[in-house]
Amino acid sequence: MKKACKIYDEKTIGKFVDNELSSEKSKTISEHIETCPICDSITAKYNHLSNIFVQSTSKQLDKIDTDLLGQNVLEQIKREENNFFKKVFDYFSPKLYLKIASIVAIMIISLTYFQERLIRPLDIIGPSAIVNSVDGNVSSVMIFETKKSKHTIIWFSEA
Amino acid sequence: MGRFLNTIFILFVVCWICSFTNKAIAGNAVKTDVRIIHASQGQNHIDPKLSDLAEELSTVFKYTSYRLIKEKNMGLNENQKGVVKLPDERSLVVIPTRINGENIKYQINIFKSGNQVFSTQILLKNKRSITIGGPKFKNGYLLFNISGKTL
Ligand SMILES: [Zn+2]
Repeated sequence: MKKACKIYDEKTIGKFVDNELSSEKSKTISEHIETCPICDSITAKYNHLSNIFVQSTSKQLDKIDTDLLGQNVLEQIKREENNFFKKVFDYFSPKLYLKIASIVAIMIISLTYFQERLIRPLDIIGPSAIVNSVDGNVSSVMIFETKKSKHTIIWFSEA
Repeated sequence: MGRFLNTIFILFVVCWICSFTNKAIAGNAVKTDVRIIHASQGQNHIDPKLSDLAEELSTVFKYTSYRLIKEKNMGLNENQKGVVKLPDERSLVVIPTRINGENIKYQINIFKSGNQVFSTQILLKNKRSITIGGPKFKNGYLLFNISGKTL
C-alpha cells in the first residue's frame, strides 16, 4: 500500500481532478500538490484515468465520481457478456414454436429429397429403358437386360 | 401449442406443394452423359470410372477388359441434338425428343462416314442408362452407355 497524504484524501484529489471543487479550494490543492509527491502521483493517476473515461463517457464524468464511474464501466462489460447468454437463451424461449417448426420443415424437405434416393432402387425392378424401334444397316439386333439391375442393352452387328 | 401445430401444418403443405411443382418444372432440360467404352477379351482391366457399369455388363458379356475411351456430359433441351465423335469416322447423335419427370424419350443415331448405320428410339427411365454396342473396334467392340437425368 502507498503512503496516504495527511492533508487530503484520494477522493478529494479525485474531485479536484474532475473540477468538482470550488475555485478557491482547487487553488489550495494545486499549491499543495506542488509540494506533496503523494497527491501529485494521485493527480497524475486520476488524470490518466479520466482521459480514458472522457472518451467514452464524458458527460457522466461531470456528475459521477471516478470510483462509481469505474464501477459503471465494469457493469457495462458484464452486461455485454450477459447479452451473449441472453441471445442464446432467447433462441430457445419466446418464439420457440417457430424455431421448432422451421427445424421440422427442414426435416421434411430433406426427407422428400432422400425419399427419392431411398425409393429409387425399387424402380430398378423395371428395365432401365424400353426400346420402341430399331432401324439401320444392320445384320442382327439383340435387345436384352441384365439380371441384377435390369440394365437395358441393345446389341447390333453391322452389315 | 395450437399455433405451433398450425405452423407445422402450413409448412408441411408448402413442402408438399413444392415437391409437386418440382416434378412439373423438371422436363425442360436433360443431363445426358455418354460414355464410349472399348470392350475386349484382352488383358483383365476395368476402368475405375466404369466399375459400376462393368460389373453389370460382365453378367451378360464375356469381355475381360473395359476401357473408357471418351466421356461426354451434355445438357440438352427437348429436341436439341447432342453429337459425340467416335473412333473410325463414326459419330453418335442423341436427341431427347420428349422429357418428363419419369422418362426421357431419346432418338439415338449412329453414323459412319456420314451414313446412318443404326438408329433407335428408346424410352429411358429418368436417372438410368442404356448400353448400345456392336461396332467392331481394335480386337473388340465399342459400347455406348447413355444415361439421362432431368434437370
Ligand atoms: Zn498531499
